[in-house]
Amino acid sequence: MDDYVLTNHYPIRLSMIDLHLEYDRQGDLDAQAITTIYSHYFPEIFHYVQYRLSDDMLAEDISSEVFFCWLKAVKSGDGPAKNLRGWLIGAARHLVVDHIRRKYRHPSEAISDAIKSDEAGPSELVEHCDTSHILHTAISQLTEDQQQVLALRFGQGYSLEETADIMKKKINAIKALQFRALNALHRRIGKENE
Amino acid sequence: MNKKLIDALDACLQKMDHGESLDSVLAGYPHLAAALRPLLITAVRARSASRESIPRTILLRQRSRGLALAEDLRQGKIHYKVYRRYFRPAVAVLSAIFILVMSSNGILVASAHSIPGDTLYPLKRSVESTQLQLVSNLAQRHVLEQTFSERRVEETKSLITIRRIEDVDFTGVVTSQSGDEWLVSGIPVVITVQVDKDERIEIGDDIDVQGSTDITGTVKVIHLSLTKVSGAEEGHLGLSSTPTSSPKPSGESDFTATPTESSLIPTHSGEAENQVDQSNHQQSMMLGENHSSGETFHTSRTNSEDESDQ
Repeated sequence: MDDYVLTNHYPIRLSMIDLHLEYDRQGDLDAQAITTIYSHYFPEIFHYVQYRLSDDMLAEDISSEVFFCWLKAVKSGDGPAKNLRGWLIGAARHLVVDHIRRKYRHPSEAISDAIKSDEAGPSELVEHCDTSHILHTAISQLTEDQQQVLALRFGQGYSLEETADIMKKKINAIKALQFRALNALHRRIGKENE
Repeated sequence: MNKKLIDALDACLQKMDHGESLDSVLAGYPHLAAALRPLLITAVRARSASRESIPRTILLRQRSRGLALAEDLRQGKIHYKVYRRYFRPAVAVLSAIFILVMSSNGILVASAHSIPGDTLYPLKRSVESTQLQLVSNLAQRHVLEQTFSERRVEETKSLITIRRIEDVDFTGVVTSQSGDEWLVSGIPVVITVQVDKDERIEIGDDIDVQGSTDITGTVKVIHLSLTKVSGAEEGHLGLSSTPTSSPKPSGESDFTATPTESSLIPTHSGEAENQVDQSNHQQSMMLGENHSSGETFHTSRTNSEDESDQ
């Protein structure tokens, strides 16, 4: 029987409080603060979007837009007063949902998948079809909240408390949502494999 | 939902986060292992969809872009509209009020010109219903009812003009009868159903027509009821803006399809009351038609003829 191990490969994150203080002191968009914040949070936002959409190019574009929104908000004085990561994840979530809606209304945008497939080699293509594609297809069929909890808990590796804070729900609600999401994903993967 | 299972799932996930294997964590929950195993395997798969690291080129490119954007913002090359920070709430509230007022007026005006089948038509009927409920004066109420009755006729004519198929219900005067094809207030109607006592409906009678317009430009009738028989003194037929009532010797006022406003304004103390009586009489006729139409038609025509004889 295969034994499964849940590896935690997430980089150690800086303290939110430290970053927040630095961010507050540099309200005028100091280059050093921006560099620190980009280095710290851009990978997280990129991971989040990539997990939701399974597309590196889209993940880069949307993550870039998230940070552009943040820079504009900071300059105009509307930046987040606390919990910068929650603010960035929230903005990313809105942009992801907007993208999914646009894609639903204009299905022709799916051509980006074809381009990506052409770039991949044969072995990568087979692997992509066998595992990642099935998994992402199954995840994309879940409800928005279920996708969000999977992205934060298993895509980002956030704790229950962090996930509850970002999703503005109680911890028990996140536990139950996580249970339902895994149940639904298990059923979906089973259907995809049939 | 099983709370124990939910808690056990979370505990297992935490243990696996610390490097324990699937089988070892399940050993701690033998009674739930069967239910937990597929969920934990799914969790492992869900985590496998996450990338381990972002390509360094992407991070460097985006960080440089962020610094450039910040510089542009700092130098004012990108306008971010500072005023919105201070004026946004006030502007939003004023805009909302302005839009609400303008749109409500605009919608009401637009709905006034709507016809059956239009999006705003239900609003038009609701407004009319509200107007009727707000009017306490009986004479004014009758004027409104007649105005709305005229509107139904005009709407039906519009539907026929544009060949739109919709259900209609209007009251008009029979101006011609040729077999099953009648003309009611200028609207061609086709009698497609058996009309009780239709021999009693004659030219000049007021009738209520329920049916639907069709593509041939006629109204197919599904229900017809007599609302008022023609009187000897009523010299003209059809809907008209001119007064059509003549004072009766007894002091009664009579209604035709479209009495004008002036004809309904009480000129002496008893007139409005008489109008109410007349209206009640019409209603009783309609009810009679629905439940015992034969006798009612006969009686009403006889009464009318009796009045004419006077």
